[in-house]
This record gives sequence, C-alpha cells and structure tokens, in this order.
Amino acid sequence: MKAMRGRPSADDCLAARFKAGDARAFDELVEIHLDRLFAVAFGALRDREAAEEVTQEVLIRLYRQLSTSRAPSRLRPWLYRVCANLCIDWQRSRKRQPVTVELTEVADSLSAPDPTDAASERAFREAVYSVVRGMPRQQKMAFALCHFAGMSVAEIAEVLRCAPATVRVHLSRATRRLRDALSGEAGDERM
Amino acid sequence: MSECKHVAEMIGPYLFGHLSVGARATVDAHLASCQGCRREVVERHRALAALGAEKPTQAERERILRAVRAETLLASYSRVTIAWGLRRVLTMGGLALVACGLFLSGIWVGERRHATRPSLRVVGDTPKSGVRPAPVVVTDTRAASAQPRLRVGDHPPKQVASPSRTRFRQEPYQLVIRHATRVVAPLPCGVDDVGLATVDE
Repeated sequence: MKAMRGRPSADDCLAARFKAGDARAFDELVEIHLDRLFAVAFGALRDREAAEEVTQEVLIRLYRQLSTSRAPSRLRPWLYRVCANLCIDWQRSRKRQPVTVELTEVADSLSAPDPTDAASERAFREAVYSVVRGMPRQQKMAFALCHFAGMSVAEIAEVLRCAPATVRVHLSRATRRLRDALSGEAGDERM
Repeated sequence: MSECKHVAEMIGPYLFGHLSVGARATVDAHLASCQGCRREVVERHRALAALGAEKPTQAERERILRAVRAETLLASYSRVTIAWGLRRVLTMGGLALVACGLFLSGIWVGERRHATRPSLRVVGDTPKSGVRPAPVVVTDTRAASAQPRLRVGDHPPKQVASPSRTRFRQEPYQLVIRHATRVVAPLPCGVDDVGLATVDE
C-alpha cells in the first residue's frame, strides 16, 4: 500500500521513456497500476465487470494521452483522476443512486456467531463494501484512493481537486462510518 | 472530551499513516490515556482490515491486457497508416502539381505558338495608279467577336505597310495580316489569292 510513495517520480520517468520511444515502458506502467486501478474501481463501484471496464478505459486513455504531445506532466494524479471520473460517469450512466445502507442491518450481518466461517467472512466483506458504496461520492473516492491505491493525502487532494484538510476529513469520516457499521452505531454523517 | 473530538478527526489519517510526526505523537499520547479513543482506533482498524484490495482475477487481467494491447496495436497501425497515407497524398499532390505545371506550360507554349502563328496572306495585282484597292475584310482569330479588324487597302497594317509600299506599286502586292484566318467579305477585284502562311516574327 505504501509502495507508491517511495518512488514518486517513477511513473513520470516511465512516461518519459515511453515518449522517447521505449514501448516497454508502457507495459511497465500497466503492470504497476493495473491492480491498483482495478481495486479503486471495484472499491468504488462494487462491480467486477464495471471495474474491469473502467480499468481498461483508464489504461487505454493513458496510452492515447502518452502518444500525444499533451501528455500529463504528473502522471499518477492524472491517472487516478481519470479513474475517479470514469467511476462517477459509470454510476451516472447506470443511473445508480448512492446506495443507502441501513447500518443496523449491516451490524446484524457483521455480528455473525462464527466469524471464522467462510460464508460469514464473505458476508462480512460484502457488508463492509456496501458501507463503502453507500458513502458520499467524494468521501468514497478519497477512501478508495487512499485504501486501495495507497495514495497520500496530497495526491488525493490533487486527484479530487480539493484541499488536503478536506481529504483528511473524508478519510476520518469514512473510517468512522465503517466502524459504525461494525459496532452497529448507525451514525448519520452524510456530507 | 474536546481532545477526544479533535483526535477522532485524525484517526482516519492516523490509520492510513498520513499524519505528520508531531500529529501522530499527539494521537499516540492521547490514545495511551483514553480507552474510548483506543477502542475507536481498534474498531476502525478492524473494519479497514476487512476491506482488502480486490485484485483482478487472471481472466479479468488477461481481458484488460488484451483490450489495451489491441488499442496500442490499433494506434500503432493508425500511425503507420496515417504516415503512409500522408506520404502518398504528398506524392500524389506533387505529381498533380507537376502535371498541372506541365499542362499550364503547354497552354502557354501553345499560346505563344498561336501568337506567332500567321495570319492571312493576301496577294493581288498591282492596282492601277489612282485606283484604291478594294478592301479585304478579315477577322482576327484572337478577337472575341467576329468584328472586322483590318481592311486591306483602306488601312494596310502598319507592320507591313512600309516594306510593302514599294512592291505595292510594282508587283502583285502581298500583305500579311496577323492573327487573321479567314475572309469574311467577298474577295475584292484585283485580289488573286487569300491563304494562310507562316510568318516569322
């Protein structure tokens, strides 16, 4: 999760190599970001097919963008901004309203008697993902970018075009929302 | 309690490791003394731990990579095709320009040749003294209309008047009328022949 923070300019170096004619640099970029993009998209959409489509589209746009002279100066924020926008577009196109999750129901499912049971574990994960899906849009994207892509607050702020303090608030409320789902304390903290 | 509220706002970034060293020390110090906040951190951490990053399956991964590779191949092919097409268009355009140049120069040469093309030669007997030769009415081939332009005898063309003047009195006269190709009036009396001849400029 924190692997991306150690080498902030690695992506830009790869992008520069690709623009210089090294086609393998793009493959390396794909290798680095494919799993993270999928995880972010899946975390936001909770739909494997949609996450696959979004990941494909982001990587294709990355290739097109790098092939033009208007390649982004900072690759990673651009990449995940495209991902976030595509997730939002996908939700809009499917006319999916933000899912309102009754946290008390989630808490009931979470308080399964045998947490080691596989089905119970799956139900637990489903319930937690449902809580994530029910988060407000910005909060959900901030949480997905932080938790699934391992981005820093500054990077998330750049992606979502908001202040770092706002990102911190989103993250704090997102984790509190999850905790509420676990403990059954249905807090109302919609933004 | 106000400190708990302040720390609660920082628990999210704290769990993700996004706090500065000072802020993290503040939270750590508070957690050491506050059981409620410590429980809050543990519960939030448990929820986060349940949310593992979902990875694509091998099939999904292959489908994604296949789609991306198809796009890159298509883009490469398009670039090659565009470059090839551009080269072809430029070549064809160049050839078309050369052809146009040749055509226009041909027209120009033709015009020049037509301009030096002769004209009407009018041959007639030497008119008797005091008798004006009857006019020969011709048309100028370059004229847009068929209006008579020259009248031999009445207005001998200046370009031939001087050299012909002597012969005009002594021998059958010969006039050359430039750019005239046909006679539009009946041949006058005393004019024997009307025909085309080449005249050097």
